Amino acid sequence: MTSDTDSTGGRVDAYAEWIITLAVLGIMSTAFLAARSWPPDAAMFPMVLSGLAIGLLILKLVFMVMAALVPPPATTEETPAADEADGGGDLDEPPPGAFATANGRAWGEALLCLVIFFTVLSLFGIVVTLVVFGIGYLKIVGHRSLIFGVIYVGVLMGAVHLLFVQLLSLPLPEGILFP
Amino acid sequence: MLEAAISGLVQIMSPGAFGLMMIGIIIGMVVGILPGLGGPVALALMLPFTFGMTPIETFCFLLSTLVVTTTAGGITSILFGIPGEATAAAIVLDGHPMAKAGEAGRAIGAMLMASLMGALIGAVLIVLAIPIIRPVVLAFGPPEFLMLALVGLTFIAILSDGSMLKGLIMASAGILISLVGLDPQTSVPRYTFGMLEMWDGIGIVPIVIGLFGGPQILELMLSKKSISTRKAAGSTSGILKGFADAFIHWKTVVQAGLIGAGVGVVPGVGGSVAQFIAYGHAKQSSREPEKFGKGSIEGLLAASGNNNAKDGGSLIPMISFGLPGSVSTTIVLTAFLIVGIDPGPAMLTEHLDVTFSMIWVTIIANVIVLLITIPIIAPLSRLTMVSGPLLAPFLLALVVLGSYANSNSLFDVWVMLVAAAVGVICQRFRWPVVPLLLGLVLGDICERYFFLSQALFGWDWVTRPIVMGFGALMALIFFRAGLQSWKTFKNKRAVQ
Amino acid sequence: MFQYNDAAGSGKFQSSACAAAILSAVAILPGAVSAQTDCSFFSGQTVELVVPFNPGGGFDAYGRLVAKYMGPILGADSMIVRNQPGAGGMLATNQTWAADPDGLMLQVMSTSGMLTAELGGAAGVGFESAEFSWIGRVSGEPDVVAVGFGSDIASPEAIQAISAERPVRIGSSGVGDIDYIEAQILTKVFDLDSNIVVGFSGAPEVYSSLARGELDLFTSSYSGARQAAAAESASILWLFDDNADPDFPDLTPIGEYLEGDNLALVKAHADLVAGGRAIAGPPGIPEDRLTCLRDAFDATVVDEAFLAESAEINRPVAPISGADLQETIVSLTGNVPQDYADLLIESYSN
Repeated sequence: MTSDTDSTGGRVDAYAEWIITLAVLGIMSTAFLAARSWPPDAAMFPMVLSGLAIGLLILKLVFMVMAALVPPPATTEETPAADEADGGGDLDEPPPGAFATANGRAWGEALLCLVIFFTVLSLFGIVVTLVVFGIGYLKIVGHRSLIFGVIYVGVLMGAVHLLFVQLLSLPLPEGILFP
Repeated sequence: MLEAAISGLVQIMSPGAFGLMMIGIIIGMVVGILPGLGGPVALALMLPFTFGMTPIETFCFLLSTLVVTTTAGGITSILFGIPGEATAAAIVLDGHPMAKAGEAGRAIGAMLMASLMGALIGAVLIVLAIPIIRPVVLAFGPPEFLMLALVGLTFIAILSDGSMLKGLIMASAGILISLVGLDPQTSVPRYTFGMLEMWDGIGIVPIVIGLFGGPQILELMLSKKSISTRKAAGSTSGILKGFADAFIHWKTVVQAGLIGAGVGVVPGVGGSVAQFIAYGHAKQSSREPEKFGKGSIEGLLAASGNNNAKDGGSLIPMISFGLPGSVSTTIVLTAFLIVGIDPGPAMLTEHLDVTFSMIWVTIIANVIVLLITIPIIAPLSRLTMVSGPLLAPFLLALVVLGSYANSNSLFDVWVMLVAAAVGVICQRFRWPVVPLLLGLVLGDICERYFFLSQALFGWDWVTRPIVMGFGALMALIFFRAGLQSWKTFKNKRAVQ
Repeated sequence: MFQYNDAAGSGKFQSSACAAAILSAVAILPGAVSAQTDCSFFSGQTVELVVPFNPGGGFDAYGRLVAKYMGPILGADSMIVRNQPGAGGMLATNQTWAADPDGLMLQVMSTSGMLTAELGGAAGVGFESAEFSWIGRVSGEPDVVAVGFGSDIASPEAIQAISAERPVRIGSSGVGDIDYIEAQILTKVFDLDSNIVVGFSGAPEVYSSLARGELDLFTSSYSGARQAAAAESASILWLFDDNADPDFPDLTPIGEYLEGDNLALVKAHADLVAGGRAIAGPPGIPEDRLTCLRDAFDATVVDEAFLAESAEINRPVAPISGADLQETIVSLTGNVPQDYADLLIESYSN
């Protein structure tokens, strides 16, 4: 974490570290428990693996608790507790780009677009999705003219058709409601 | 042998064979650029076209397609950060950061030249190995496969981006995902949630596409900027610089090529593990290991040099035993059988010229692909200057179609989507994804060969010489990794 | 695991004798198809042929071959192949079972894999083989028993001698696969102390293990074994059948060494393996459409261009008409010897 990241960003990172660690611990514990009902040969590998992972995660939690209890020495910049605890966190990594800097609005817009894209995809298939989403997205988000959108989508669909249908005779994703 | 080499070359230089090679190259270029379609899928779908071809023509067509899809996949990896297949994911790690920094042209140039050099090394290795191929392949059984996979896993230590503990946790998660499906010993469905779609395991291609490609697309949609904000992304001087890079760092390329070809020989395991060993080795021996994963030219060269060399290596067990080294060579093997040539000792004696033809195809196809790509590098590189909202629908279509093609099922699209979410979280909160990938491709291999080794040899397999050799190698890798982090630690202390 | 051994097939599989026998049984000739039943339903339609495995293998090759020639004969606008891999073919088979029986969706069936899974009560089976609308068998080849190249094993006694010293190691791709069931049958009929080594990724990997001398025995399709024999990894020992097969005059059937219940066990299994690769649709395809499909199939498998291409790509056909196949499968599923049923159930109970 670089020093110019605002403090809220740093806090989000610290919370995320706890959430991710606990979530993976949850997954690994579930995996361990699920394996108990299998025959020994089938269960051995998953149990050894998830057991090991649980050990590692607990070790990480211990480091995190220790780092939270012991304030970092004043000379270092505000490094995330966990990285330091691991003994070798990368201090001079660049900030993780748009993910850290984008505001809530941008996130909302991008995620909404993705939800629309994949909902339309599962309902109506890729052909309808590309036409509707492609033209709509280019118009609303890309601020391009309708004609531009139609040409863009037309070229894209043509290329997809040539490659998938004509050359490889591969099926295209179909939707539940409409092929 | 020289006679066979010349005869093999003459045979592929016939107009029919050479023409088919060109067609194969063009199809390979187009298909390889699409993530998820390169390699096995494309080859399998090309099989019906080989109907009526002579043996030589068949290899010219299929092998050139295979070789070229591998190379073309590198272009998508560099430009958009979307790897085409799991065995080539390492190209993304440094290639895409270079493109982001406005060096797409240089990166593609370096990738192409290193691929060609790798293919040459692979070819030379096959030729040298011809007299000893069968004993070498026979020396590797399940215990050796297991150890090689474990050597690959050792590289978690090097590829964890500074946080070993996080790396180990991510690798465990990857192994856990690789265990999904019917278990190899008792055929009990594990972690399948009652879904038949998961019985054969979760497709690696959709995961890789999502894990690496997902964050790139979301980033473009968030920032609405182009991939690279710097000008001169595809200047000719950049391309030439890329070519020069491959020669300047020739040692890196040669070592990666040797690792790729040598490890690629080991059927089933080699193709998956080669890139990690080559990339990890390059990082370990580099003077600037901290740049790896952030646009290191050495990292890109190692990944590319290894990529085509391993294809050459994987031909060896196929030629000599009919044992395919990778999914792609399985298809090439099918083509063998269609044209009525049986792999086996005859390929090294009676049909040696056919074997040489195959070797020549891997070299010549790489030379041609380099030549025909040069004029399109500049326009391709300019794609990194196109604004995010313009690229997004196109890239979304690419990742959806690429993952769908894994088994023609929307299930794989959802797998890709979940992987993309994981990829975004990992990138945002700095959890390393490479160990996850390592675990994913090697986890089930380790389990399978462990049980096979036990069933066949009990614990005696531990004392086999090659197994012990690999054990020593693992110790050495650990030792060097430990030494390196100690040095880094000391340096940091000194600075503070 | 439900999977027919899909080793890429090839070789000198002599189907001519078999094909000739079938030919005489097939009364309908090309051109006569539309004369008998009104098949105008199919004109302008797209028929989908599902292949339950990835492209590139044997099932895919046969599927594409049939689709290419059967579509025009049926009068359909097109017949397209769709690969739908998953759960060793069971995913697609379950889906076809539940699909609309309009005759426009068919599947290449791994008949033997389906039958063993169904009879063995395997988890995940959501179909009854006898109820499918069988259109016809495309190909079928017997399984064979193979030993390592240059192995000393040449008789049941030699295997039993090994068994007296240590467990006989028999390779298999996985519990419930055809090769696993065959390993169990060998164990039973030759009264062996055996160690069935599972976990190989497929027949080529088992053969390479056989070549390294790690295993004693392995069973696979004839074409897979022939390929391994050509690569000097293995030698073919016996035909996995109760009787000699006129198409393989050089091979001794293991039935020659057996009698009584053991012979019946081998016969039951060999009959089932003979189901081979077939084409079927969902249960309940209307009678007239089913007749059209069966007639078109019968006409396809004697079509000259079809046979020429089959020979060219080394994918021999050994057709059986839909009605005959249906009858065989109904009788196979109806009268399973208890021994065999028990063995299958044991194979699938983890």
